[in-house]
Amino acid sequence: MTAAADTPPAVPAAPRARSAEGAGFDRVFEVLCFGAATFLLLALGGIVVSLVIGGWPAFARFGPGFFTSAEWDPVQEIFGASGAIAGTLISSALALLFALPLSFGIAIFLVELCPPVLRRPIGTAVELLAGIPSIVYGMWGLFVFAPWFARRVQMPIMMSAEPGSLWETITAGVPNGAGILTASIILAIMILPFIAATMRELLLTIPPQVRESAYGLGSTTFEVIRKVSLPYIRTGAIGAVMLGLGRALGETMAVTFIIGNAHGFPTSIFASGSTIASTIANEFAEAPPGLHSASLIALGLVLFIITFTVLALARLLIGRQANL
Amino acid sequence: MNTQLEAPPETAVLQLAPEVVKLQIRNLDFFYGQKQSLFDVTVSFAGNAVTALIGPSGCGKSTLLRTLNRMYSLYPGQKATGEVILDGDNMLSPRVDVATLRARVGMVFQKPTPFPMSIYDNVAYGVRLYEKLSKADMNDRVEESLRRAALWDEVKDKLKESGLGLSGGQQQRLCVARGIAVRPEVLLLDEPASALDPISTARLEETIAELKRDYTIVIVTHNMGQAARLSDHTGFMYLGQLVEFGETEQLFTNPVTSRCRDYITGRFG
Repeated sequence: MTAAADTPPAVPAAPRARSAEGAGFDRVFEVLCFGAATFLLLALGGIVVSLVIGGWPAFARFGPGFFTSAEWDPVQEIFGASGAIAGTLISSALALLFALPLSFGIAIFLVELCPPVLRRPIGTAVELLAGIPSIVYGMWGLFVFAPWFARRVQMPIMMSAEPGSLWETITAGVPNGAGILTASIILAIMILPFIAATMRELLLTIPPQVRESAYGLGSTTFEVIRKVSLPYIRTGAIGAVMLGLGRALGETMAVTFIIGNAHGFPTSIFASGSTIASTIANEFAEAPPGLHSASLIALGLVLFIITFTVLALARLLIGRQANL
Repeated sequence: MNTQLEAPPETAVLQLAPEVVKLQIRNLDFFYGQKQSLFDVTVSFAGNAVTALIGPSGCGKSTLLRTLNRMYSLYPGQKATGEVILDGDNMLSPRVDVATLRARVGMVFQKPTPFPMSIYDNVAYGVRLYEKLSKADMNDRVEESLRRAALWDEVKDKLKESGLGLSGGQQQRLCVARGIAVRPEVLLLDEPASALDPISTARLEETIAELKRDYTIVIVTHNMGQAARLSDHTGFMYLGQLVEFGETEQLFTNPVTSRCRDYITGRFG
């Protein structure tokens, strides 16, 4: 190209042929990339379509009642999803509630306060937590955590609850440790490393001079974190939290172990319950073709929509933030 | 005003008359871990005057500035010994609360560092840490600070907008406004114009010249023209030592030490 600009090349045909060849490959390259993107869209569309088709008999049979009824009776073939939906939302929300302050604390400690000697061990421990397979969490939750929790936490709380009070209703249940709250705690431990690690990365992106400016005005560490550091990473932090929530919503194995797998609308935090994912995992293998299978597929579609909504909300929040 | 000139061959540090001195550094050594980067610096800064610190990169002028408000203490492993005396009190003493010190000694950095909040809140942030002002008083304080930083006319209609949306030069003047809003006694400027275009730099220099009436200003700069234009006294640093310190005019026209002469005539640096 540069040669062409300065002096006419002796053999103009050769470079031109080469560039035509390059353009030809570029065309192929474009098509390949386009194909990859299309494939993704097709897969996504295919999943949605097959979920809708597969779940259609359930929607057709129960109508809106599928979402409002809490009765799930495979024997009489009556299926209502509200129990599983509520279980999913409640356990995830509680998990987020527990995980959020902890992961913020971990991230802030690691970045702002931790003595350099401890930084590596703690950071590695957090990453290791993310590496534990969910089935291990489930087993540990069922065999170790749940019995301890029943004896040391659930029993004392239930005993101390005043008969007839709202607190008694909320904490009612069989004291075996398996229930919504236990599942939430296990979920919290599972999503904690993801949120903490992302938050840590985000905090590290804050220019040191911005923090120094805040300290330079005489702020205390807490003031710097609350007024400057956290607002600085707000957008990313929302994303990190939503990512954790998405994981909690879809988490299957650990929850199936520990949530008690009872159908119906959960009325107490200690009661056994179920989530969408745990219901599908428990029943799909045995469900006969027909309404039961269709209802499970419909549940899958509902979970998909919930997760999609959470991610869309996150995008919306982040978008609004970016405009600020 | 100045009295005697100690002129050993290697260094020449002018002693200011005690009554004009606001801030004084005595026998200051500074260490980054094992590495010593300031060697026995002793110098005085006059009140209501601008003192410029010049010297080649890595000579320790920014480090010197960061000891004046103990900014280094954020980082484990950085250590200063000696004395930094502000109005008779040693600011390096552990008994001096670092937050209080920083309220008296403000700092503006090389790059603009607006906080992720509105223009108004950026200026009000520091004030809120120390004073409980009524809304009207706070409005006055914010306006006054922005006016003195020569930014008011450009932002008065958008005080609620994010400080991050301003241009680089405006952001830097916002940081100056934020620094003076807490009414410090000393203002430290660490190459405040190095990221700015010439027009913004000129405006910032006007602001600094204006602020001199009320503050003691110490400015680190790479720009010798800027040092000559702005300052009353200039210190030349080299390899962690204060080589020459004197009145700006004298230092730039007739430097005593050969190192300083070589530097300002462009022979090295």
